[in-house]
Amino acid sequence: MPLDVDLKTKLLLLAPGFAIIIFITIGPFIFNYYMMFFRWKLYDPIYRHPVFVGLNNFITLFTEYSLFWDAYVKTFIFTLIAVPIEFVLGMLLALSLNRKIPGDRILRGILLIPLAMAPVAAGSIWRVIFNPMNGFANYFLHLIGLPPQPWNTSRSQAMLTLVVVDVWQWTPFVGIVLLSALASLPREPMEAAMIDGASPRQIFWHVTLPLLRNILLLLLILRIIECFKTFDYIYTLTYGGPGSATTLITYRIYLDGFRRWEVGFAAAEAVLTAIIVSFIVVAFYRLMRR
Amino acid sequence: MNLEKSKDIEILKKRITRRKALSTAAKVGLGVVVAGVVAGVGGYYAGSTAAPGKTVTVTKPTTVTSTVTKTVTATVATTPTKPKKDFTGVKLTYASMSGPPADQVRYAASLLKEKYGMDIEVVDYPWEVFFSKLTTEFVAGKVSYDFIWLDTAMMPGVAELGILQPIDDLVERDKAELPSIDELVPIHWDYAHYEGKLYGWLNTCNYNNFWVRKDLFEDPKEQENFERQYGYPLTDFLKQPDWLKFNDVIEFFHRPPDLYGYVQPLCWPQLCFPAWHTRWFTCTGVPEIDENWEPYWDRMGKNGILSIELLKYQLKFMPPGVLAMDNPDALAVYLDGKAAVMTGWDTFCLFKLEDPSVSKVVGKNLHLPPIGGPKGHCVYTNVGHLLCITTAAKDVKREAAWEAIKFICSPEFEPERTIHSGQTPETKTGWKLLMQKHPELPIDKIFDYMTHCATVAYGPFFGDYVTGVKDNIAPAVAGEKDPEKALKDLAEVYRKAYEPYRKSGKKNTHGLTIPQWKGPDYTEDLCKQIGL
Repeated sequence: MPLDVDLKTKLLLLAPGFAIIIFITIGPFIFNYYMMFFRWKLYDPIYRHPVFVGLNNFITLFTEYSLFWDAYVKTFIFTLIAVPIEFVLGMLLALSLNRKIPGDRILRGILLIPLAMAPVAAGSIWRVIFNPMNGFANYFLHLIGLPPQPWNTSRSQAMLTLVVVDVWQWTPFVGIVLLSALASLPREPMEAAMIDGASPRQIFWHVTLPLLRNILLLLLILRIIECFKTFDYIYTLTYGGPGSATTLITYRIYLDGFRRWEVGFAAAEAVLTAIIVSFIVVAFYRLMRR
Repeated sequence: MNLEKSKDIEILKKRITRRKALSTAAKVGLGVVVAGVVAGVGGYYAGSTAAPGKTVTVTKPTTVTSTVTKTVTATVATTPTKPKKDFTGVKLTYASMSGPPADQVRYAASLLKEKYGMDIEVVDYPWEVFFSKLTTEFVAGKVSYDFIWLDTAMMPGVAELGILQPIDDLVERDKAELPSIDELVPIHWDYAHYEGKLYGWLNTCNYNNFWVRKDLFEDPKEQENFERQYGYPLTDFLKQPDWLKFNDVIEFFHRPPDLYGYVQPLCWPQLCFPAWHTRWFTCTGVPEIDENWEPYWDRMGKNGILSIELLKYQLKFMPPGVLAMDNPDALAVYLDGKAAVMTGWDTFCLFKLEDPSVSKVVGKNLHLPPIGGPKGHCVYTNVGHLLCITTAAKDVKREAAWEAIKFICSPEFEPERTIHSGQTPETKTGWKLLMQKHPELPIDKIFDYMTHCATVAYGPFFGDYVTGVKDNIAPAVAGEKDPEKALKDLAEVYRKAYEPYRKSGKKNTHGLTIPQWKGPDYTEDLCKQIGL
């Protein structure tokens, strides 16, 4: 029996939730959009208090500040390497676990461990593992007869090291979501294809994968957004280096906002990033929906 | 404290000479203005509890020229009555970086409770977030701490936020209880001042040392091989190191993977501080910013570029991954006996060197004198740590915080706190007493070496400086960026940051002197050696 609750009571009950959302999400969000039009530098004798500068922050970003775009290029490279690997490995995991194998429940539990770990803790542990002098990664390579690698300490390998950590943490997420999706797929189309003589590979490419399209699209969007938000591993594993090899976009914004204290400028960078990521997501969405 | 003795210190003398360039009119004008302001403020506060005792401030314009590094206002003509030193019921909150700066106060807290009855709560944060945490709190108008630890280099930034109290009046009042200026590292004393005011008491110099493996240098076979290969005795390096000999030594001992020539933490932000700056100061002989906030980085030509190229060259003799090594990583390599030479902070590594539970090189360490570069003669230090009183500490709390600071920084207590926390002494006597307690530590000349320090003068723009180095110098050292372009871009970052300061007519009063090299200018030889 539906409760007879009047509108006033409904609003009253909703108010605490709304208040929290307004104060911790919508408020700062609007404030960020407001601040992007100001020069606000916390130590500056003139700009310590916000000074309206119109679109100057954006003009600087587009005309002078190449570091911002360098960070974007690196973020794209990171995303383009990490996301496909996670999808391929995640799909393999899901397909492997989507059948009755001994100990599959334990395996699924183990898969959840990286997801349960805080990225900062994971980054710190990987920093120890990748230590080129006495880390486990090189010890393992030594055991199998391979030469030691510089990992996160080399300009050429630092980005790949970040990818390794990202893949380690997020492949299980992709795998588990796809496993759930596979388990919920209707059996009939696959059985029909089998009766028609389709091979398992043909069934996967022409039946399973199209049926998974929506969930793949969702996962892809989530992973792209997450890749653009990568911060913790950089902060703990590479500090954006060596040199600037792993200074991705969020780390760049952090440096500008919380190291240089250019708060208004960092707000403009964040807004521009939100616009760019939204554009990418919409483009992907349209592409995949075709 | 005998401030007059400062005249004997060469470094201060140089600064005093430069200040003579100020016009007399300006000095008198400044004196009159300051006197007016002080008189006005003094009058307002005369009856208030915030007034430090019954201080009557009289400005002496003449002293501006002779003691400008001490305090521009050079106030106080009469000694105020000392307050009673019973602080029972007073609760102070202290904030610092985690590690030795926090542990020293934790250790001192029970003693201070016993001595003065005060309670101290210690709040600490990792170094990476300490400054950010403070800034966001202070900008929000919140000062939760009565006294705080600061890297001296950070002090101007925090002072600019208006949350630090100058302590000139307290120092003047209690000068008899404080160590003489001869006891302090002169350049650190200089750096404790901002805009002519003393904003904190000197806690430690936080000196960046070069350590070498004594056993290797004393090995007759190594000595013989070295002399045959390089044509001069290996022990020459220990008497008067320069970069030419330094490069020979680290090349000679570089025998990977068992032994590396040299190890120094080079990840960000370490690269911002000890690594490149030692090379900058020694290769150029100039500070980084001049009196008008104008950077030197793109004005030193070949010598500026040499400061980066030298570090790049020395990377060849460092362990793999050194560009991502932080202090613990680099120290671990040295303690494992895998490096012949190491650079490291004294607060961080001093006791570990001779601790058999963590070190394989016990009894095998020598402390290297400062490097004589082609131009400058120094080692880098960020010029230490200060203990500062915030504006939250009023009246009795201010007095209690000052007593706590004096106690923690007293030469008699310094060895105790060093042993219990790792926070090393600032004073000459403190180091002497520490040596008496720990004769195994190779630190007999450390105070003399510390006087050959140089540091960064970034004024209130600490963040711009650190980020500028990360964005430009770190990529140059890593081989991503042309060193000349890196120096030019860094200079541009700084010029932009300081533009408002230049416009406002503010002068830079920080770190304008680098200890000069008494040897020959060997720029060309060094360039040839590293292939520049």
